[in-house]
Amino acid sequence: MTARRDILDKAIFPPFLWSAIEGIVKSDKLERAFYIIGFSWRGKLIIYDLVEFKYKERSQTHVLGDPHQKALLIQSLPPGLKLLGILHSHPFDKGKPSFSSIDMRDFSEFGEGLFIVVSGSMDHYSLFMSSEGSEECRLIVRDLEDVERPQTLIINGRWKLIVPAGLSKWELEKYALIYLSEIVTRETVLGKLIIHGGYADLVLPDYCDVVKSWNLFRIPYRLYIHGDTKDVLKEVKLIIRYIFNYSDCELTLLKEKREAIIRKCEGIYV
Amino acid sequence: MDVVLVLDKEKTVAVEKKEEEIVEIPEVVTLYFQRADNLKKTISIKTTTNDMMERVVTLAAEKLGISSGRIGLTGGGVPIAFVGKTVGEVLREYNTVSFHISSADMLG
Repeated sequence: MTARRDILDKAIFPPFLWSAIEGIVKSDKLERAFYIIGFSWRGKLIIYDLVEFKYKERSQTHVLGDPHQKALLIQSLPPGLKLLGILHSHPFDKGKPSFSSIDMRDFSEFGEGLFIVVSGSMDHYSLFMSSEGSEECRLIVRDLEDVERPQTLIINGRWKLIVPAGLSKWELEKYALIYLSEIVTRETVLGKLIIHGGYADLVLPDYCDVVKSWNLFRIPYRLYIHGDTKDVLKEVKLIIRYIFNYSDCELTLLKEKREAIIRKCEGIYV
Repeated sequence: MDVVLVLDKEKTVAVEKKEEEIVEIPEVVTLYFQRADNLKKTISIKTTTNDMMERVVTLAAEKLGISSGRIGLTGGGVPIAFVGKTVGEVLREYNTVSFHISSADMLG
């Protein structure tokens, strides 16, 4: 029988993200938590980005996220990428931290995922949980190899598939369609049906792909814009606030490309 | 009355007025709920427009295996405020029958 650790046993964490987390965690006596965004490829999880919780509550010993943020973040992910799990800090722990019973309850609700806890000294412990149980997962902080770096494949001029550059032709041809079907389904539901006589036109929702300028990897988060919106910039900023909790962010809007680049925001962020 | 801008083939702009559309929602409706973190988990609930949305969302969360009391509802790409509203009010306000449910992550 194949053991879980033979299928998936490590998570690769790029140093630029790890340093960002370190800066945030060490500067705060209260807990912080981040959603982990990345790709599950062969025997490893590759981390491409982190999105900090939009906290409903936060103290030295607990954090409570906003359920709307989680739903909107998942919806904004480009095809291929997944919300892999959660990283959170235990500023009160020194040395190797461990998960609390509250953590374990949350993870069981989350379902399959990677859960990382870091202490105030940035020691860490990682667990991969699935329906088959939980197992310790090796967390490796290192630069991504060329084959692990994200590459974008633009499909039909509309969808930006993000996959590791080393995906084989076979993997790409097989899996891309599954990733694509997820976003097509999502966008169909968000679309509009214009009915005329015995015919109808499906109009997919308008969107703006948002990229963080400081991120080493260009991850386009898709925000859906309502057709009757007069001030696109204002709406984009509002959704950015929902998803990333960035305040007063400076944006460059490239309307023709349906893209927005977040230049900088207020406070410390990742 | 809405004012609608129409671009014709010569790219000139014409203005026409359209009667405000009256949205007719049947008394019995089917709402679709998906777990935001697991889109394979989808359920549908038949209800009436007079029913309280909070009751329907709680039922949907239970059926989707979400036990947390802190639930968020999104639809049409935006957060939905449903507390104290009827199903009909939510459908009129947000113009969708498809919703995502997620629970708040609480860590200690």
